[in-house]
Amino acid sequence: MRKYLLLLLLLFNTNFSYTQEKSPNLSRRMGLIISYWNEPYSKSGAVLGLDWEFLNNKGHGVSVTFPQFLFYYFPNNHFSLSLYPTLSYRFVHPKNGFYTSLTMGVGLNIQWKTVPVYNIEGYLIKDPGFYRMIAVAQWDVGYDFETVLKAPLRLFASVGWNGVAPNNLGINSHLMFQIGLNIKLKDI
Amino acid sequence: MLKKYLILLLLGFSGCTLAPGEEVLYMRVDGSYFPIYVRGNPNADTYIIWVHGGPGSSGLYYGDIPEVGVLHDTYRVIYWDQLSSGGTVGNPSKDDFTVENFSSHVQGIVNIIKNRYGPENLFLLGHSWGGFLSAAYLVAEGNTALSTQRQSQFDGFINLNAVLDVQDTLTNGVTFVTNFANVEISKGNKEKYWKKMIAWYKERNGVFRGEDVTEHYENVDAAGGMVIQKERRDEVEAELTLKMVFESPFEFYSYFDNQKNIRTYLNIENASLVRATEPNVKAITIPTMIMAGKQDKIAFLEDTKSWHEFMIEGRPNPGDFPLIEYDNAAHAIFLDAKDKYIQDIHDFINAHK
Repeated sequence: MRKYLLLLLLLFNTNFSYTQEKSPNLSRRMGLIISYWNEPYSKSGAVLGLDWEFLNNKGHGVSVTFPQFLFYYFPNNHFSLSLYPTLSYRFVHPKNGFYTSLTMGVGLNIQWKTVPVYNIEGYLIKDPGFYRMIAVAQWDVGYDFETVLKAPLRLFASVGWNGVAPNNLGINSHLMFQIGLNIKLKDI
Repeated sequence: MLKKYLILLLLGFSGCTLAPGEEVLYMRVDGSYFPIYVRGNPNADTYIIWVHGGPGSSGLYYGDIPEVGVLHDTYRVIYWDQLSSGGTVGNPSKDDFTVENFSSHVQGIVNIIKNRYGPENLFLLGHSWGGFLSAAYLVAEGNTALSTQRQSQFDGFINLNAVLDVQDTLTNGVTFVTNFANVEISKGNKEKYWKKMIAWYKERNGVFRGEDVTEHYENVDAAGGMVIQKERRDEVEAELTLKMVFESPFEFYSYFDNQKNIRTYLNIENASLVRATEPNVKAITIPTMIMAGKQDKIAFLEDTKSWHEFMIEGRPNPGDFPLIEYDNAAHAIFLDAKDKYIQDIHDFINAHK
């Protein structure tokens, strides 16, 4: 834990022009994503996922995140769970560790009310849940500590859009913001 | 206050705390979830079900308007959102957008409130389109038995800035705005702006769908027919926006999309409750107070007077159906005549509970 805290602090002191040889581990890796998710109404969530990354020697490639879960809590309203695999184009700079990616994903969103739900006859019912499709499009930027410091950790932030549909004959669109860690589990 | 919300934004958290005695409930109908916000005095013996305007507005924030929130001291007030409006989520079909269906949802809200709270006294309050919907619900399409059964649940009906004939309302509204625009053009005031507005109405040719309704309301507002206390309205709107973003327990993500949908699929342009040949407000027998702003250019005073005359014609007890007129007030009486409207509501409720 102390090691990772130290690495986080180092992020702000790292000379980004620092150069070194490309890490041989850069090409294929599996990582665990843990992030804090936020939507503009400032209701919070968390993301947990496995990230499978395939890059060429120049740092370009794709990543697939599967499975990926979003747990989202809207106080006094609902709890929702989304399962949405994503596909990213990713570039990790082979020398200074900066990385960026464009990500898209589609999946299933289930929402349960956390407050009493009634039927139209006026009787309390058990909420059967509300199932919808979720789509995500986001831009990620981050820093790969492994490239520079040989530490199996990345810090990233994302901004983007997510929408759930169908909702009232349309798409319920949200802006989103995410900040998290991608912890390397192993080379693949 | 702004500082507080900036801090919340930076922290990424929201308050979302309900005040003591407040409750959030949902009504689930065919996969749609209708939010119900129960506010006000939990010890009150009198409940008011507030039916919001629009169509496509939201009822959930009315209670955050201080001029409305004063009702909470004395009453338990039930705010809720209609199908595909405000904080309602779900996936209705286009066929669900009928006045009849919306009326059944009003009954659903009544069922829930009666079962959960068993109120001693119950009043129905509709604002603008909500006044039309409430009246239509009570009239029950001319089904006398159903109408009687529905009305038996209430001690009275308050129709605030009542709209009882949508066609009259739209026609007069268009005439008002275009006349106002012509006067402004003749004075050389913002000529281009008003000419564009007149052209817009010509293109619509009396048919308003989706965002057209919103634009018409904006035009009425620009011509001074929506609210007199504009500064106060702007102040309230700014406060409400922040509250809705950071502290609301409801989802308003799709507010404007919802509004566009409901104004597209709910076909009410020819809806009327004051035609003798169709089910009408004469069927309403419970005490009914109609509140009209003299400067209201959505629900015009002259229209309201004629609707009221139609309603009380031949009744043995016209005193139970008062029409209250408000000086210097438009379509938001609760902002324009805040003290008088509250007193009138108290008086009406005390007389009939």
